[in-house]
Amino acid sequence: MAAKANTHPNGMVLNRRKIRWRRIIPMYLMALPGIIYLICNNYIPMFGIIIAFKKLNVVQGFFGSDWCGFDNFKFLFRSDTAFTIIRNTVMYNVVFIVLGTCISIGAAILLNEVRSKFASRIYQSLILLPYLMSWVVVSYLVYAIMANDTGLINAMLRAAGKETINWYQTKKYWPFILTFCHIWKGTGYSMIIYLSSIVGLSQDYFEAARIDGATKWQQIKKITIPLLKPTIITMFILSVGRIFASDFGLFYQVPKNSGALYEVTQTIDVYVYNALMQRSDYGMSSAASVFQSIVGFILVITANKIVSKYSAENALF
Amino acid sequence: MKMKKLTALLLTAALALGTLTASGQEETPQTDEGDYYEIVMAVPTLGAEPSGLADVEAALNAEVGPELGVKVTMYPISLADLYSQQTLLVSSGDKLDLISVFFSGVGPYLSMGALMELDDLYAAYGADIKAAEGIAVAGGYYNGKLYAIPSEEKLARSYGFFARADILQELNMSYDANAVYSYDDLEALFAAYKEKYGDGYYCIAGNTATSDFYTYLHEVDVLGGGTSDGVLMDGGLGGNTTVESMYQSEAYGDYAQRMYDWAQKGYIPADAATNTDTNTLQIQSGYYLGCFSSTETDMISNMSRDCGYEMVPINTIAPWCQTSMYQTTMWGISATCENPEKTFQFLNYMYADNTIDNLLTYGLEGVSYEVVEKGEKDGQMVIRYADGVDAANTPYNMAMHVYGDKTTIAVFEPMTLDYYTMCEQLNNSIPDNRKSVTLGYVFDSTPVSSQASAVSAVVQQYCGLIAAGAQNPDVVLPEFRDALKAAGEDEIIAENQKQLDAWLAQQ
Repeated sequence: MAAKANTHPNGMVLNRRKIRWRRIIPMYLMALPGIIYLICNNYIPMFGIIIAFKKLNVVQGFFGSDWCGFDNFKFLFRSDTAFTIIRNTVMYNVVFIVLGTCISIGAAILLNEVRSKFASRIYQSLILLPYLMSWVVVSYLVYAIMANDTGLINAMLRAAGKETINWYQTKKYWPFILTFCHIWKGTGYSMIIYLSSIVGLSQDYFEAARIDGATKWQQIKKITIPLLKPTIITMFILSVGRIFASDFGLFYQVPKNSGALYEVTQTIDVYVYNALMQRSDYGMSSAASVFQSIVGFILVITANKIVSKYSAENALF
Repeated sequence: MKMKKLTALLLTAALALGTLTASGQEETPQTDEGDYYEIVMAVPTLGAEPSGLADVEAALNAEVGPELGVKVTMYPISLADLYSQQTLLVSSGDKLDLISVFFSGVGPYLSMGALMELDDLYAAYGADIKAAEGIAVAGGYYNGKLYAIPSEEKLARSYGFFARADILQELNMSYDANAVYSYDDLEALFAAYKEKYGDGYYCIAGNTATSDFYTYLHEVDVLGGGTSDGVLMDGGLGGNTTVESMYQSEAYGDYAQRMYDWAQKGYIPADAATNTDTNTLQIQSGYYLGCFSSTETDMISNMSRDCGYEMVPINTIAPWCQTSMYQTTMWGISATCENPEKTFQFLNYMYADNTIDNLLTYGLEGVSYEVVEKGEKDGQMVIRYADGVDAANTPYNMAMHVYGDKTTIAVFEPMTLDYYTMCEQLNNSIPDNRKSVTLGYVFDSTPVSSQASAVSAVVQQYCGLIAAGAQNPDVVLPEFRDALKAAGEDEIIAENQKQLDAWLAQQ
């Protein structure tokens, strides 16, 4: 913008700036409460990061407590669990991002093609419904299906004369179960975001395509998806930032914190909870979240760099 | 689109304003009772602030004001937030004098320096506490110094298995309340029960995700900490003071094998390792025989009430005592307290012969409760809800009994005055060989805190599944033990031994 402005005569630039400010100031004023909220809620508490490097003493206070270097971080890397929990956290998130995006977009496109307004509303609500449920409720739904004696699947297996499966003690099924639960619960929400972008696409493109005789599939592939690209990329970068954090409810409540499943269900958040539940050590818990935030921050920056390399106009910043 | 953005902005603004006003509503306690020192005292609640709090506070001050020259402000805190809110109050410089240490032990508070040393105060003003608590004061020590005053009515605990009386009768089995039974005795009962009732009926109800039955079957001295920080395997009763890992021991291996065996035979349900219902709730369902618990006489009526069946205890461990039994409910004085003398005097006064512990626990007589029968000592009585009052609308009734001398505190119907006789008998009949030699020693895990956290995560992973017999111990036990070693268990145990030796040398 600035470069463009420079090509104009000087007076012109000044004039333009003035006009722009006059239009922008009310916008900023309106945003002010939001900005204040953001600062109070997200930036001021950042000083709490120092707790991660301190041996907290409530009498000396946050600032007066003794520094302890990286001592608080040590428990994260004490044993071989460190590898497992980092692997689980990252791998599940990668799967969730890829699969979640594909399925949400698919659902959004399909829903957009439903012509009856009434039916489309019903479907949308049905798909969104699980998102509104608490993980505790979900965990009981899963339990109703997988419980040993009374569970749906085992009852069916028994009726068919097959060997029953002790689900909560058998690791190999859980990556699939957790992924399914996540997608089932989360799709509705991201689908709505994609759906609103699709609805906002100009109908002219589709009309033109239809006149040219494009099939539905061709329209989707050649028009909808390319036009959705900015939304997809934004959503992608946002979720990459969370790649080092995990949904505690999903990984703690749904497998019912079964020790036998830890190898495939324990993520960083669950580990921190289990390790510090009895000790309630503020220093160590903030160390864990500082670690998560820093890795998350690096990942967002990297993802954004990569995106800006390939399509600069879609990068976040 | 414009409209939408505007709405979003307005909503954000409203939210921001909401947060601002919400944080401005903090209540400030008032001080204006002449020269009285104001004591702010944490009051653990089950969530809602009792409606009769102000009346109780007024009645309390009417008594302690002239007596001690203090004015007490009761500061209700929900049980779940007790630790975080109290440490926050202290660290942010808010006034808080009496800290309620509930279930956590003083360790977490001390690692942040939130509590004051009480040795001198105890020596100077602690006569009533000494008379009321006796050896239980051991629970409040840490690193050889006194930091908290326990409020404990039972000086010893016995453990065992509670079984449904109707089923025992049906099976024609009876157990002597004073005898101690073994694994095999329990197994015989389980086998008989299982044979009679068959599939779908189980013997042991247990919230096993977090529990460990081993300590219900063997005396284990946890040295004022947890089972994961190293223990004395003989409970400190046999004179052996070698700190060991409970989980590496042979006895634990046998126990694991036994639990697996029981699970295989269907005594323990296959989902036990993930069941989150309380064991009393499970027994209410009618599909369980009973559960492990501590088995002092008052527990019989408690269990019977909670389970909905009459329950009979089958003892597996005779009454004995160790430091951790006295750590359940304690009072500490915050490190920022301006007048520790006055505060301690008030604390001591709660333990003296008077009725303020009843007042703090049950509220005002005639308002929230009425007396059914009075006992020998001041405060000892059987009570019931006052007319028109019940559990739901009572203006003041603290479910958590944390105040003063609990051997002279009222009990609710249907309990009787026998309760006091039971307490007295239990407390006066502990032979010396049933008292751990480490009474008063509490392990300070701060020097090895990262190892301790890592180890406690490992224990969290395996001990529930071993208690539930969910997996073959031949496979999981070696895994469990390796994981403990890798997490630094040995360093914790060495540190614990070092501290214990130093403590023993001082005794």
